[in-house]
Amino acid sequence: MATATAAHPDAHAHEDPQSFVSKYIFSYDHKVIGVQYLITSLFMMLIGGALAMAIRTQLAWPNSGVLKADSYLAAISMHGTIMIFFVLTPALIGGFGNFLIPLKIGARDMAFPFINMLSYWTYVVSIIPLLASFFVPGGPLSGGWTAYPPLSALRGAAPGSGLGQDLWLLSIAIFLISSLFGSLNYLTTILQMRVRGMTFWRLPLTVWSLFIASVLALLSFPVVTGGALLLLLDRIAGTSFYVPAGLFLGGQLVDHKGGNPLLYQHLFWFMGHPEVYIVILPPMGMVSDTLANFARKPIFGYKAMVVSMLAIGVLSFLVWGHHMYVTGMHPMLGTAFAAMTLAIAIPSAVKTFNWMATLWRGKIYFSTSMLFSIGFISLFTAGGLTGIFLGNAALDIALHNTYFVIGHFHLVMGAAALFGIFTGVYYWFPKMFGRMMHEGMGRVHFWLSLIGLYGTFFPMYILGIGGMHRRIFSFEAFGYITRMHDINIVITISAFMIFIGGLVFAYNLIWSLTHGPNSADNPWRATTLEWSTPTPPPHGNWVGEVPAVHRGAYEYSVPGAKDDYIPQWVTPQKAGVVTEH
Amino acid sequence: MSKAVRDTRRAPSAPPPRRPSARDDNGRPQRGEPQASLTITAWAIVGSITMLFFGLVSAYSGRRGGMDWGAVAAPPALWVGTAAILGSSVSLEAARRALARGAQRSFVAQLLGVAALGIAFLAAQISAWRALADAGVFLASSPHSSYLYLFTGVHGAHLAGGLIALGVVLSQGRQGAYDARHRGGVDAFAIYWHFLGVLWLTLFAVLFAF
Repeated sequence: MATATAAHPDAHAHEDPQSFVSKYIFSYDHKVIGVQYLITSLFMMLIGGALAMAIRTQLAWPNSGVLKADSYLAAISMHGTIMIFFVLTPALIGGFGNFLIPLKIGARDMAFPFINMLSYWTYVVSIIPLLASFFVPGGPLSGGWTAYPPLSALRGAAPGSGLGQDLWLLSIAIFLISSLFGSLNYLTTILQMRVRGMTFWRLPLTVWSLFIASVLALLSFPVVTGGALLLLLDRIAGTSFYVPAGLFLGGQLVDHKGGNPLLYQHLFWFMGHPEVYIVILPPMGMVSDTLANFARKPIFGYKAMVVSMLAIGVLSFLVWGHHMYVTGMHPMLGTAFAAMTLAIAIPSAVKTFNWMATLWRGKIYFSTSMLFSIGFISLFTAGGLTGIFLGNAALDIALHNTYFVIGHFHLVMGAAALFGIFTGVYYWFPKMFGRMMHEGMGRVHFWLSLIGLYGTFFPMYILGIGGMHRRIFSFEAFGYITRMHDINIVITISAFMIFIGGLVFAYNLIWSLTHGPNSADNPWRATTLEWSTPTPPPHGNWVGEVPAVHRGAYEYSVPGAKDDYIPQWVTPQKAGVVTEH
Repeated sequence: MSKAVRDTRRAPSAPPPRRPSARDDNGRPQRGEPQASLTITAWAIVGSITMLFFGLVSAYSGRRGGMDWGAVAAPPALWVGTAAILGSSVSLEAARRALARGAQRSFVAQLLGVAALGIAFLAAQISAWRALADAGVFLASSPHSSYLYLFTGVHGAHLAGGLIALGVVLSQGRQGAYDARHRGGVDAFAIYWHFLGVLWLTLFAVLFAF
């Protein structure tokens, strides 16, 4: 046995950690790193959420004095930055990616455990300048989370354009490096360390989605890194990559000449759009796994699911112009970007219909995780359909920078990705900590979130069509928006529901860690490889040899089998039925 | 979990001095081997840096036609640097051939040559910068000078990173860690280093030939 393990190609070398520090702080273990990522990003979610509550209070009751005009712009900029770069991306890619990839493909750890540890700690380092920017003169950046020049390029342009903007750039640069480390690891691990029998067409969709998201990150983040470098040079070295000639700031002619601020938008959105899919693909994968499990049916159209994710990945690089319809681009170019954008609706619809077909006539078990999975489909659809409106240049020119856009992207990527995170936490919590989560509190969390999210973001479509601008500090400035005061109050109350739901979730996490009932090794009767490990899995994941894989990831309710699921590691002889995957 | 089972699991953490077979009979790296993982990672890094320069060169080509372009002539030192980086790639291939036929001393000597030429390249780039500065051409002088400093600087930073990697390969190589069958680290380094050479030729051409 010992020699068999040693000869196994993925037997890997690092020792069992001994001290507390090497076990839980500077750990090389992918499971610990995944949990570290999750906890850190949930902490950041609390900060981003608190900012959102302040923003909403200001918008419902503009005279409440929660925020001033300057700090309002800083709050929305930081809310966006934190939620996208420091919550959704690290929780999904860093958290679930780290925890699940080796467990699901049958590897004892990542290909490069040291770089993996480095990735997490670089992420932590990137948070420090970001949070520090709250406490510098002028406050954090206030030109929006996209940091468009010239507001972001000239020090005196806005209160946050000074040190706050510098710290933001530093923070994002470090974050991008951290993400690069992670992507390199995932890619290599999935290509190299799959256990015997785990072919690409047997990979669970979660792994596929993380694989594609890693490729997207690897190829799109460097472009914005270059863009940020140019911005930095414009700020500190007096170059004119972005700052145009003839610009007056405070009555003074700016010294720069001949730059083009639109260049930044091109570089930014070349990353920005794939980033949307980096965030939404992993939830798509995870939800596919949980839906199949809780409906006790194979995922409908497995290969179509993979191909549509690949198509989404490729198309995501060709649509960045749809963020820039109002920049005066040639109508032909706008039409081309619109056509590409609308083409994304096809693979997205394939996925949505496949999820619904998976539920069709399933023996559905409404666990909290399943509720969040179904909620994911609902939110993704409600948000995605308005993407068809915004993808059309002609409509977008009217709706650009209104609350219609805010409603759209919050539902389709913010809320949907959030539901993906919750689905994952409720589903894999037993594997992470060996205890089940409290289902009752989970249901309260779900309903508060679902009603709260719809109550918050659906009325925003109406606000947007009514003409409410997305970066407006107080509706009292414009008479026609004053009439929408009531809608704003409804939205704010709904937003508080989401936040309260989040607090219930936080309490549930802490309660379940200490009081949750002990979990069996495979509490959901699931087919994928992570459930063949002891709960929680030890260092190295499997005791003894890693089980070989004999079948696809979705063998639920196979006719003739004695159970309604056949795990991937069960041999054909033991399963008693022959299946074709 | 019994003690016996734990011991079984720990057994592999005392590995044999060298992994049994890193390559199959055709000399191709086997799946699951750290050696092949390194080359895959090297290719991924190459893809990532390509995208970085794709973005920067796109920006460059958009700005190229401007009235205020302010073209700068190539400092002669850049030609010296170009010769050095080409020579380093030749030397690196010689090192790999030496490794393949088992000539360990020649392998290490050729790698030292790569290091020397890499350092010579960086020195040439820095002297090109000094020549530009002496001529009054600075980072913010004109769009062309901005991109010239930017491209050489970002490329040079990646080459400096490559020199660090070369230091690791050299120290391992001197201890005899590589041979014809165990050369993943050398292969990965070679992918990265040759890529930087090709990248430099491309940037040089983009900056001055078009």
